Amino acid sequence: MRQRPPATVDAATAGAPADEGIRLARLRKIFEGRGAPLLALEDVSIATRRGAFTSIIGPSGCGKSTILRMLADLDAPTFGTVTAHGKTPRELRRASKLGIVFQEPALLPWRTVRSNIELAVQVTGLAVPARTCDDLIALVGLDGFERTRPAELSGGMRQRVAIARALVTSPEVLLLDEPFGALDEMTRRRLNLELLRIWSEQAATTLLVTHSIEEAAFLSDTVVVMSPRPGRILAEVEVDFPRPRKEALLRTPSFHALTDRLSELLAGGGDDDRG
Amino acid sequence: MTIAGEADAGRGFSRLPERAETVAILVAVLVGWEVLARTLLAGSFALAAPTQVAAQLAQNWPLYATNVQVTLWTALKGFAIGNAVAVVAAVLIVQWPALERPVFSAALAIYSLPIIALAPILMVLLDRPDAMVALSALAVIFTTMVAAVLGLRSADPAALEVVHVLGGSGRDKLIRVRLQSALPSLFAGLKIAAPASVLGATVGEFMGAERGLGVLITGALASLETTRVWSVAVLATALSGGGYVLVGWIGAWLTPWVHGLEISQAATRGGAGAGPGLLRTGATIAISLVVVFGGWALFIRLAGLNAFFAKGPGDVWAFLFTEPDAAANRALVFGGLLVTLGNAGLGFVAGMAGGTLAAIVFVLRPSVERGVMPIAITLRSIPILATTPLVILLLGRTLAATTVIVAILSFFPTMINMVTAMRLTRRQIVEVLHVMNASRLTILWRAELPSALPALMASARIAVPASILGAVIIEWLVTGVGMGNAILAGVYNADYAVLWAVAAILTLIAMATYGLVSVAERAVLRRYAPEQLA
Repeated sequence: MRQRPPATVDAATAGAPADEGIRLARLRKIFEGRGAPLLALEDVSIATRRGAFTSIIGPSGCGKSTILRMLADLDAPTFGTVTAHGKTPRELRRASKLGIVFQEPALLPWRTVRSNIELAVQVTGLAVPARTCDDLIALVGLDGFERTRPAELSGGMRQRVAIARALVTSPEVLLLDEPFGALDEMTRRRLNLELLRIWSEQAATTLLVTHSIEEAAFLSDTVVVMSPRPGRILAEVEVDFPRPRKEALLRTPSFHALTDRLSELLAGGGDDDRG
Repeated sequence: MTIAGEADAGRGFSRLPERAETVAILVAVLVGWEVLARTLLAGSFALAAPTQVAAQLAQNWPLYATNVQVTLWTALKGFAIGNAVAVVAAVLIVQWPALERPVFSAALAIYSLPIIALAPILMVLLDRPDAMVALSALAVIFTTMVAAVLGLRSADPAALEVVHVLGGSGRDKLIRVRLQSALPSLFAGLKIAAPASVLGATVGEFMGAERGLGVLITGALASLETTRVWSVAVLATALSGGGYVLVGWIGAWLTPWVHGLEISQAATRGGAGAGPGLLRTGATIAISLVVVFGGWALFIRLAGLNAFFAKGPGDVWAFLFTEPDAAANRALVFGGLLVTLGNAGLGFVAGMAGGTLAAIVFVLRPSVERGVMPIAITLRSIPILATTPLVILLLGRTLAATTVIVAILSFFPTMINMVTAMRLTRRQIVEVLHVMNASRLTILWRAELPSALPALMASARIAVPASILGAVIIEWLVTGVGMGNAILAGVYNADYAVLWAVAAILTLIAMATYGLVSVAERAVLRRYAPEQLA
């Protein structure tokens, strides 16, 4: 694995190259509520490739979820630009090209598993064949639960429904905000494996926000490490383990070397490696 | 309009432009009222302008002050007594679950008692002032009890277990954990109780008293003095709304760890956990009947009351079925019942539908809500008497007028409950839909409205007895039909059996309907909010 200094991107570049993925250029975010304005993000620039899996790790409150929310058109930067595939988040959303999964499954309790997944089809109005839905239910391992309501499912199963709902419309950009944060370690590992398998079948450019170093290292092509508030990028670490990745990877020395490295960076020990 | 902006508004950051908007809409309402009263409705005896009301109040202030004092004092005593009874009942229920069914049934019976039929009876059984206080107290017991039970049960199980492991007794748990946990929900109940106690007091005054706002309004109505009617209405609304706001402040001050929305949430859920589970089985119905009839018979026997005024269940049975005049009596009472149920039903449906529609408008247009909601919250406590003259003058003594007046009773609570519930739709569900590029209407239709269904059912449950009461009040006061007519006949002929029969039948009908709505509510909760059944 290599490590390179934070990318600096010229915000004025027009006409996105074909392989451009997510592009954050000199983002700054100031929250103004009651009391003093809060500087949440300072000079954050990231550029990823189309179809790449990128993770952001960082301490609580470092603004990593804010970045994801900007890409989801749920929030806007105070300064700087956000694009993916050369389009603004709003354009992507209007074209129904975004998929999102939160830490909470956010399912509609009155709908069945199948109907919760179909919600995405109904709302976006996209022409998705019924088979896609069946295939996804099978892919996330929920066969036989199509007609079950969320209250009768375990936490892990609910989160699989949320993932299937995000994927059913084959989004170009997939946004994952701590999707397994509320689950136990065992379930989390299993779902990580499943996520990789599903993700490899779709070509979505993916951004994952997580607290888990192991999760970020296992899933990603690039791990972005952020500082405590105000969030800055401390390092971008490329992860070049070959795909498809298997669970055995978790037990290899090189994987441990990577997670140790990320831990050090998070703890602020990465200063000597920068520049 | 971004999602982020809405979320901020929902969290209630107070910003200057919003305040200004609220003030602007308030001013607009006052100006509109003034203009309407001076132009379109001038000379129609329907509406008095704000300036006329202000002048009227200033000129005759000593008269109004004396009467406000009487009503306020009655309502305060009723508020204190009724809520004390309610809290004691709630503690009994929570500490000794075996008492739940009988105590709940008794409280529900009290809530379902039509105070308008009860008032003439209480007036002969008690001193006049005491009768007013009793009516005011009876008006608050049930809602406060339900809120208090809900609050006491909302205690964090982990905190209760910690006290248990430390060797604490049931009383320790009550004093150290449950009472504090109950405060938010209890205050949500007390907020509703404040206007209810004023309404109870004025209805009592209405039926016959020497002083008080109820007396003033009857006099003014009879002589068509519109300005005086509206002056009393404004004062009564100020009393109710002032009580509502004051109790809210006290509650917020006592529970600094709670945010406003959570309190409203407790109010919205009011009784979902307490009521529906209770009224499911035949056993519960049997217990309710035993409590109602047993309590009634016992009250008559123990109180040693004059048999001319005090009629037991046996007397009412004889009145309806075995007396020589039984057929005529049945015609009066049951014929009246059909009319009343029609009136109440129409108003109920109109109120629920109107409240839901208004809530939808508010949720789609938050700026309208911010301006109108403070007024609506005050108006939820508007005395039914204040709106009656306007509606009657606009629509005449017609079915439409009755429907509108009854509808107003369920309109405000339904609207407020629905707005609150829609706002409480899980933020992340709304965000997921937003990311899916859902339109505002889609979010409303797919997420917010279904999320608010439980609140709609809770509103319906509470609105049923209120609608029946409202219909009877209007029949008694204005249209002279239905059960209201039967009460008039009973009072006119000093035939107290009629009054007892009307009270008993209306109570049973209201309880039965409440039970039916509860069953339906349970079905809705099972599907739309399973977590509330746990």
